[in-house]
Amino acid sequence: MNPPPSVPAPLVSPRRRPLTLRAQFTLVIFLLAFLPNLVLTLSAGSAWPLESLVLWMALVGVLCALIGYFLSGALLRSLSRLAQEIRAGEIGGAHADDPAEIVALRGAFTGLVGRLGTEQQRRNAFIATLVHDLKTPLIATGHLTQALTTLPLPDAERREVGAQITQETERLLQLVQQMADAHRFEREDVQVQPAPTDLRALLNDVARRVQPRVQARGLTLVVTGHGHASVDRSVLERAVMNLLDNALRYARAHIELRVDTRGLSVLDDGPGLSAPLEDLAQPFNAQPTLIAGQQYTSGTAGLGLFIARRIAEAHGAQLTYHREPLFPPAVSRPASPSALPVPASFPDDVARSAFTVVLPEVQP
Amino acid sequence: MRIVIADDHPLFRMGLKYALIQQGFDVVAEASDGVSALDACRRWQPDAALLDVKMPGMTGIEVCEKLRVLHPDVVGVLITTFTEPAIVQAARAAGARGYVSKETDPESLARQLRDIVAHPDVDRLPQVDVPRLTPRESEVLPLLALGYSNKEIAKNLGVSPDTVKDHLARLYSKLNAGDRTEAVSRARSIGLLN
Repeated sequence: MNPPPSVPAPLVSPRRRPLTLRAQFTLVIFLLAFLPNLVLTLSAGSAWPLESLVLWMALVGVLCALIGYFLSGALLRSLSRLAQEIRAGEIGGAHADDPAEIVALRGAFTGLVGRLGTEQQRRNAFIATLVHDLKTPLIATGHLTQALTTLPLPDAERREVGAQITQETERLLQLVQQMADAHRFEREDVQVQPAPTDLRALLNDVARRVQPRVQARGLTLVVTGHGHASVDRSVLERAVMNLLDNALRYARAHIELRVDTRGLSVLDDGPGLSAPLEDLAQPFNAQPTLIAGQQYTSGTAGLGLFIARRIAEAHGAQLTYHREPLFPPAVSRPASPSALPVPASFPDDVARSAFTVVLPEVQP
Repeated sequence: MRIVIADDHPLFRMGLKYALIQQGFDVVAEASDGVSALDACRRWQPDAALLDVKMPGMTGIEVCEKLRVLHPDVVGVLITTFTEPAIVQAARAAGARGYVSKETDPESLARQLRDIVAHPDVDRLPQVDVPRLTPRESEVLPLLALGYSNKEIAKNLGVSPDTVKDHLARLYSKLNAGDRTEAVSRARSIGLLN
């Protein structure tokens, strides 16, 4: 059995520990009921013998204590019930006789439990990422390094193994960076220093940097539109790179980077998001895997989306997502035609995903 | 010994291939998903198929299940980072002959593979300790997983809330859990809940 949750040490010593709330209420009600009786009885004088008087007052005292006890129980019923539910770990909905304060307390506890659950899920996803996304390639790198140092591999094969290790190391570094960024951006705002920026030039730069990956996957990438806005160029580039990274992974054939009066968009003809953006663009989302009819956490999803969302928010912007029919876009010539091939046409029978950083003000 | 390896991670596949070659195995085919793995087994009829549990399309466990029916001479061995008892249970039920960690060093992996192929009928999968529930506890557990309160469980089963409370206390004890959330999570991990 797990140890019970630790309870903070009381601020007063056990000897001076205050009475329970019910005992305090009982005492107050008792005093309020008994003292006037006592004063009235004593001041009015009585023909009764002293023994009878003491006996009578004792009886009044007992009655007052009983009334106090039952009345305090009734007054604190809702609170006691809530305390019991919290102890049992099952906070239910509000009861008909719950006063407003208890309803508020109940809501606060339910919210707290929900947040704790979310934190727990994020921790699981974080650990799962360490176990599944980082451990597997590290084990593989160990095997490959051993092969490189002990097996008489032909030069071409040796180069291929080296290239694979380098590529994977870069991917792992990127993942670790994303994990660190997500952890930081979860707690603090992204710092930005906006300056007038040519958004088209920003997208052209990003497109140039990913050309090797575009070609390796046999995709086409185009940059369209023009616009200027006051943004932190290097930070916004990271948001676009995160969105583009997803597009490069999932696009079937085409990716478009677009500037228009709304802001910057990354469009791809991949299958789209598996869940609403607001659910996915969270730090350390558990990525479920179905094995033998059970869901298991096998890593984290949406880190890049979360980082892009936070960067957008730091610019007073917002990140949106929608699916739209894929139609031949108004393709404008990229900065370097040789590096950025322009497709002759886009298939129009499928939908595409559009992620947009909606900026507050874009000048044409 | 002829081996087919299947893992959706290309670098791991490559590393595993070289590790096995170094140990004297003949890696006849590689696959990046369950369907390709099954196809490679049909085509190459290897002595064993070393399968990742989590693969796109079809899990390694499902491939083992198919191998048992379609290619019973191919020994299905799972290689994974998952240690959840429910997965081990499912692997055993699917006819997997081995369940090894991806962390296993190449020498040990080679030794285990040779043993498994030489004596495929020996159960080498990790033993999973699953508590025995009473029929009533088995009825309470799924309702607990649905988030029902004690009163609701009692109403469903036609018993008093106090009886439900007793069942829950025993369930917590058997599942080594402190509360209902933990109990449901443990029950899932050891395969008591679908």
